[in-house]
Amino acid sequence: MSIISDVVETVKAITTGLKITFSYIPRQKLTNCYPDEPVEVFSAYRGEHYLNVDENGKERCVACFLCSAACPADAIYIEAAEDLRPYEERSSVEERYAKVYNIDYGKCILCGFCVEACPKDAIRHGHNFEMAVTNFSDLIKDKEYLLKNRERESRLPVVIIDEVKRRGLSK
Amino acid sequence: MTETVKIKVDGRELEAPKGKLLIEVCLENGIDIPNFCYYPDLTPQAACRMCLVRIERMPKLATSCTVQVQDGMVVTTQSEEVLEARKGMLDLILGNHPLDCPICDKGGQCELQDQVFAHGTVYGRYEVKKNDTREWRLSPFIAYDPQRCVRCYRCIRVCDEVMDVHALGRIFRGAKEVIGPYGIDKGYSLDCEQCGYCVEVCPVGALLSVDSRFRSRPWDMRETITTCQHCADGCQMRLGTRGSQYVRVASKDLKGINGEFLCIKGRYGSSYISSEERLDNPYLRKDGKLVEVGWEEAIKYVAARLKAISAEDRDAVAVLGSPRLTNEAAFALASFARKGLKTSNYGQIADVDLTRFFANLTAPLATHAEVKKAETIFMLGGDPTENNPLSAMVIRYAVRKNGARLLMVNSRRTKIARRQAEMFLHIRRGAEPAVLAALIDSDENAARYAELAKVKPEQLRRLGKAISDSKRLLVVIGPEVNGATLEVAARFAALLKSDSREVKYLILPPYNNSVGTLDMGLRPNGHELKSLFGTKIKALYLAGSNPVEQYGNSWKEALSKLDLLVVADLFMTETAQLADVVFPVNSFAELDGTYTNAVGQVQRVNRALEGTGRTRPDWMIINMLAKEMGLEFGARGSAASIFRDIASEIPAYSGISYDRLRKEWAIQTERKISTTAEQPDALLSALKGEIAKIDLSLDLDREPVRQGSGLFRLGTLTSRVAVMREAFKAKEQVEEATGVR
Amino acid sequence: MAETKILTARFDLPNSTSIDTYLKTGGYQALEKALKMTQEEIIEEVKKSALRGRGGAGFPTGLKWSFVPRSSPKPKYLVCNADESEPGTCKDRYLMEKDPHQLIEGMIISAYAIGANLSFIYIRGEYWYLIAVLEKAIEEARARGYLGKNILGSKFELDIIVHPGAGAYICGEETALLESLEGKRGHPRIKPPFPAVVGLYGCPTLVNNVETLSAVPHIILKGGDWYRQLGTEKSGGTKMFSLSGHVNRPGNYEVRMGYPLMQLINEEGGGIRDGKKLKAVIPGGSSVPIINAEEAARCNLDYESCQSVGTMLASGGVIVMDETTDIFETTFNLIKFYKHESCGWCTPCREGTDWLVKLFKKIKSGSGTQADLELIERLCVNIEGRSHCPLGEAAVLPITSAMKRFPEDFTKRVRKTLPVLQPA
Repeated sequence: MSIISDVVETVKAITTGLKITFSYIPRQKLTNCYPDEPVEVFSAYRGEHYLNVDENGKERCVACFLCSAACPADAIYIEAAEDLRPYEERSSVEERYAKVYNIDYGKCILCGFCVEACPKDAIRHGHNFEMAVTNFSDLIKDKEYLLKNRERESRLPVVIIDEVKRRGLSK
Repeated sequence: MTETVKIKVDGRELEAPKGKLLIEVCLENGIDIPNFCYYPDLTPQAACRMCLVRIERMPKLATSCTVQVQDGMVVTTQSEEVLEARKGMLDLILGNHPLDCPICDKGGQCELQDQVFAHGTVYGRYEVKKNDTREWRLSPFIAYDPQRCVRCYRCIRVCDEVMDVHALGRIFRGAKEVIGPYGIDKGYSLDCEQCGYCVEVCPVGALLSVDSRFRSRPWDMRETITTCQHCADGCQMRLGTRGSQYVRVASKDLKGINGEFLCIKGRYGSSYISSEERLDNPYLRKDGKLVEVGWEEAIKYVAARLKAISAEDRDAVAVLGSPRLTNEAAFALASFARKGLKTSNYGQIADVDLTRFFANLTAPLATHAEVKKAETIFMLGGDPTENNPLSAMVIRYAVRKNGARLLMVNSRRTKIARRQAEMFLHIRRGAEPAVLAALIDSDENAARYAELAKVKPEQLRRLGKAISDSKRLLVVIGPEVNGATLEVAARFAALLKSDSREVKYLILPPYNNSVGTLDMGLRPNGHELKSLFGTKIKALYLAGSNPVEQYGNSWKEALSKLDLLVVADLFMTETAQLADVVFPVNSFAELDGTYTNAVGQVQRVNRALEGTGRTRPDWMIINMLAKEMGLEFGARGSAASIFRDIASEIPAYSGISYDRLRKEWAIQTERKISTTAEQPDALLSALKGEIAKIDLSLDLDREPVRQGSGLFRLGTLTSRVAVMREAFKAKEQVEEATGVR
Repeated sequence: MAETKILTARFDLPNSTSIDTYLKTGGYQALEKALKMTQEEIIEEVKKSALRGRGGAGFPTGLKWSFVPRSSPKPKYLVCNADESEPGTCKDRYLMEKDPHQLIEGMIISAYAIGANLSFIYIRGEYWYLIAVLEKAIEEARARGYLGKNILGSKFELDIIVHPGAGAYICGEETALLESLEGKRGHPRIKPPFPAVVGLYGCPTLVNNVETLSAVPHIILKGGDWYRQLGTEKSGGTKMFSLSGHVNRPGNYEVRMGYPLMQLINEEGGGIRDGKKLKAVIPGGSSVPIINAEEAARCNLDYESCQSVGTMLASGGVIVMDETTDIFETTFNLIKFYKHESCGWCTPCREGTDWLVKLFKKIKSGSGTQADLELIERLCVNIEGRSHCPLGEAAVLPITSAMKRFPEDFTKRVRKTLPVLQPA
């Protein structure tokens, strides 16, 4: 094998490689400059949960325990209570409501089983993934926090991609 | 012997006794027939129409819960037609059912849910507006949601037939029909024994217990089968707990001695185990006040004081237990007193001296299952409806199902006397010995005994005739029979026993482990020892008793004379407040052990809760004390090993172990039965003293026994049950204010 | 006039309720004759007459009597079912109002035949004004020795108690009637056992309709064969028909069994009102299938002929509807009645009637669809034959028959639904 053919082979290989490299330069970038820029997430992204409310702002959760039963990580703890006041006065949709609703994000694996199990559409995945804390016990989020999570959605550093629209499937 | 017939179900040949209900035959043979209104032992109803089957040569689909099997019957339970009919019924039932399963406490244990799952797609075509109804609180214990109700009437039948209370009925008509007490629309509440049996049998979430409302869900709680600690019947129950908290008591599908039966105390009377008032730390009296201290300090203090007092006079230290202790605790306590402290002053505080009964027993004790089959029942005193509800239930069962003759002698007009008794001798208070003597003595003295008991001689003669006519006799002895009368009552069976007549006993002791603690060696001598307090007895270790609340000031005075009073209890009771040291103990839900019920059956108490970790079982406190004092009495480190000692030391318990109890649930201890022939004269002379005590100035107590006079009475434990306290305190206040009872 | 006045013979007499009028016209002669006969002879005579229960089911009366175990040591009871609540039927009212002694005599004979010493007239609560009539008649009969101890020197003893119901249709069902009579809520019992064996207070009980019992004296007096030849081979005697609806002369008419339906409408009833055309007839009270004009023309008033055109004779309440009638409205009216009267015992009847009413309401309001009609049909299948007592069946028979015979009245009210494609 001569030196010349070596050089030719090498240049050939380098150009082949660089061709790919250069071909990507004008294309759309896949990386984000997080946290300077917002992150793109799909609408079905399973981020930190939020507790849903109905059109009058009443908590939808009836503390049926189905989410905690479905949870493979045993991360949800609920205590139910009774509120016999009329709908207008109480804070929940039904007379049964969750007095305590805790999700332990130290255990939660964000699998989405709880959302699937919920018969009342009361728990959903938000798009927040910034869950790091400095104190382990802060990973346990209570009902008040989870209820407010819905409002926080709009302030999250994320851009939510509607998968349906993106693929042009919507009518 | 009943004739057996051959039937064919889905191609399977089955044999069954003639006249048995088809659904029972099918269920026993593993052929599943869905049903709501069928319930064992209750009259058939044919209301839900879920059990429809095709029987050949019948024009329509037949309800298998009403059809009695006949020879050559050919039944189809799985055809397209039958399944379609069942689906149709489910469709109709679901029509007005609210489908609020996430809210309903029954969700997960609901028979309707199960059926809908089993039948797959029901059509669910009900698109018109459902009939909306509100929920009713039928009583402080029971809530009713008419919309969820499938109108199977199990509740009504169980209340009418099993409980004989007749509190529930059908109100309104057609689609508006609801279940409830009379006047439900006017807000009348349920006037009943509040046993909650209706809640237990309800296949859906229409009837629910208020006390466990929304506390948990069936899959979310841990259920432990354990023994009730309220009365001497020893019902088995399922104690539901979540985390460290009590949730509920249920009895569905239990196979214990009581089946699914529980009374108000069994079903609702256990929530005190999670009461806020539970003691959590030992208390020590410092400067006249009880202050919380650590275990070490408390044990050291007690050990030092006991040692000092015991060193002067061994008998100066007394140990008293309670008929509520487990066998293990009672055994440890007795051994500690006898072998450790070597004192002769130990026992328990009890009103009835059952030792005389067991020492002279001449016939075996009948289990509740045997009571159900009794043919003649002779009851001498006792009010099981209020104090031993399971015994009352089985006696009612014997009368209802087997037509047993119930011969009742009582000084009070109890419910069972008013409703079930074939013969009721309403006697003067305390005149039980006279009746017993009349049954033993010859006829010529009948007039004298009749006068003593304030009945007619003819009545006594008829009673004697009915007893002598009986084939299988059950003698029930109430707690008012005491002393020599009790002894004679125990020997009485020897006169009746013969080849053609089987005699058995049932006693009605007042507490859950009256029999067991007695077996463990705690003699009922508490009241005798009381007179020695302050003089001969200087220190008292009192476990699980609250005599100040029970007997009042005489005990308060006596206890205050002691140099040292140590109380081990669940709560800061009236007695504990007088103590120098109070030890917090584990409740029955937090420990392992056994109870022996009235019929001598040993049953397990299973640990359902962890407890706080700072309370101890009674036997462990004893062990700690003994160790600190340097006493050796054969202490054991676990309930199971204590029970092994019990089994080896106490003859009646030999051969019983936790392992066997796990498999057999309830094992009846074998009692020594005296076989010596009894002479009537000897029995009569034994009764002489008791007969002399009859107060002839007393008139008959004509007042009927009020419903709940025993069941609703609040004691040390039940007054810590929030739902009971609230319900009955309010009731008492209303009654006191209005004077209407 | 083709009316055959047997039961109604005395109706037009002045003071017809009085015992004097009754005795003058041959009253209580049948009783005197019966008391000389044996029980078997009486039952045999009734069997011969081919008298069938006039309450609705049409069960042969003599056979029913023979089911009562006369050797039973328990007391036996006779109950007269006067809880006439079937919409369209009002014959019993007339019989009790105009001729109570005929009923009483019939009851005494029947009680004698089965060996009952106590009998009841369970009368519909709304017939309160008849209670006085009946009680006066019972008093008169007792005063003349036809009731009480030792009736006419025969040592036979009987008393009659009039018991009013409280207005529940279901109490016309014999076992529900017995429950109600015992003081309980009127729910049908589980059959078997039938009341003839285990009836009132657990004792053998014979339950018969007013008209059935009223016919008994005539059968005894003139013989079973005479009675039988009045009617057809299988249904003997005469029967009262309550003609109502769009006819010129509505009322109660007694005709021989087997009398042509159209003849009843056109001759006795004086034809359809305003000369309109006949559209539909319900021949036996509200709980039987409705028939159209063509079927009515073929129908004779006896059990077999009615069955052949797909309906039932039942209690004889002939409801005539002319061409202006909307059968949907008729059916809606009936199902409302059955929903209101459903006792609530069993699932299909309680929930089914409730649901049907809701569906009819929906259709009436104009928002119904073809699917709703299909749902009604399916619900009827679900109720029919699966309910605890015949009320459930009675509720759906008019609907199914009306939808079959007059589908246009239903379909014109609903919107057509597009066929839903089922996934393969």
